[in-house]
Amino acid sequence: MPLFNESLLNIEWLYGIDWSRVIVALLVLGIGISISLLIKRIVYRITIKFMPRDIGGILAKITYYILVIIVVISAFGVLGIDLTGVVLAGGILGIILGFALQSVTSNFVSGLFLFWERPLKIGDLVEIDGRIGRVVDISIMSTRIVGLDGVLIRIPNEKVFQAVISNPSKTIARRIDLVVGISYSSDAEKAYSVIREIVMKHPFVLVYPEPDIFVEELGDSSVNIRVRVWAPTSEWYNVKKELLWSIKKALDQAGIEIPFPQHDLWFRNPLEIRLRK
Amino acid sequence: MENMHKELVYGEIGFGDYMVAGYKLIFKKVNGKHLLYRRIGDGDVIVEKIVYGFEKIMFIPMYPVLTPKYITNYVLVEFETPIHIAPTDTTSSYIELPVDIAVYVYRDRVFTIIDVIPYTYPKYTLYGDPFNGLIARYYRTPIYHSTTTGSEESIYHTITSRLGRALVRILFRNRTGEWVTVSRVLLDMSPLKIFYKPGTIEAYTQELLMIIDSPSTASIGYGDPFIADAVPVDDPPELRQPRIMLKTDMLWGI
Repeated sequence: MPLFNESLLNIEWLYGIDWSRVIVALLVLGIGISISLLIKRIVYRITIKFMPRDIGGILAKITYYILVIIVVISAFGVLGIDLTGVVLAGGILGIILGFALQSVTSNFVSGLFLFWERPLKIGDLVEIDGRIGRVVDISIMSTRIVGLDGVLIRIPNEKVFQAVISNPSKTIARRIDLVVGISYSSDAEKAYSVIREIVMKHPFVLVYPEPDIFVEELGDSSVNIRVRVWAPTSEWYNVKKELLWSIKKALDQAGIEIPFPQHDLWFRNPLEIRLRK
Repeated sequence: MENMHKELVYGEIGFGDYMVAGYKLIFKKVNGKHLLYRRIGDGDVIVEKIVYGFEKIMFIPMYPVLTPKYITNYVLVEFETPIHIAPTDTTSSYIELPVDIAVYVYRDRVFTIIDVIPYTYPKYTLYGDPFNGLIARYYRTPIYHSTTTGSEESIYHTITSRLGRALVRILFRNRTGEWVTVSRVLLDMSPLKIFYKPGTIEAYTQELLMIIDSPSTASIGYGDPFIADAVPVDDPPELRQPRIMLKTDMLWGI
């Protein structure tokens, strides 16, 4: 038995290789990957200027891998190897994965659109899909808000993208609407003056747009006075609660009654009252 | 008891009691070297601080945007009487800027502000619309002209003899070919500088230039001080911003 396989020493097959093609293919591969890396960096630097770093990184990587695939196919093409079949198989695999990861893809694409449109940013107090909270994170797949009760809520980007978003943080001033009911027997002029004084005294009730105070409705149990004032968005909550409390105290001090709903019942016939001993 | 209070003037002060804007300010030495500071209003202690290792205490006029809370850099000063300026005309006037009173403590040249006392009751306003506009401290001022109100010295005296006011000299330049009405001026507290004369209650800003580009837009430029022997205030950290933009644009009405 031969001590070793003589065929291993047979290198005649090497003479059949077109070395010039191999060198060109390696050059295509080397230069192509270098250019891909360069483009990846450029994409990253450009995207992080208008979107978060993690999203920029993902986009740069996607660009890089697409370019590398093109470079590899080109290199094999130089060697005369046809990868059409592989590409076709990859395409079919892509379609299958696309269906399987439909929601993931949808969230991803929605995330990209959210970064593009920017309806909200970290720190904004928003209402999304009926949930109110402060935005703490916007990632490529989901948006996280901390509700007013301190609970963390994760909302998939697809839902955020489709939802009606109410974002008061986008404006610097907000209107406060209050309704103050006074009894019919109270002096409405005096009530108006008392409310106006409280409103004008508050530093964060804005001078412009001017406060609007008017009788809105002659209700069943009360004369309803509408108070419309504007406050800086950052102070809106505090102003609202302070105003209502101050108005209540001031009306009490002025002897103006804030009534509660009541009904007077009139009987057509006198009621007979029977007493049991 | 009222006459036991020391008179408030800008500059370095000593221990003792002062009355400012209805508040009683108490500066008391404790343990021979520390400062106990109290601001009392309506019988309640509103502010209380203990300061160690200070070298001097000063009353200094302060930009009117820190009370009751810092939310903006801007002050919208509205004129009690609007002024009409002829086409391509230039005129100068004087207006008031409200100033609050800050209590500074220093060690070498390093300072901290231990309290800001609101001198005029603060009100805020919206300038512009809620989406594109800005929030500003609001103040309504008379407008003083040297020809109608008296000499410049008398205007200086009228404004600076009252605590809580700074004198602002403003030059209006109408670049349009039509009459314009000016009823307000928007000031950015970052490029604006307040000056004061130590030992007095006089406060000033630098000269301002309002260039009117159209009947509804203008820009405010911040020039040099117009009082020679006044010293600038040390800016608080909130307003110590890069002073690159030395102009304030008024885009939503003048």
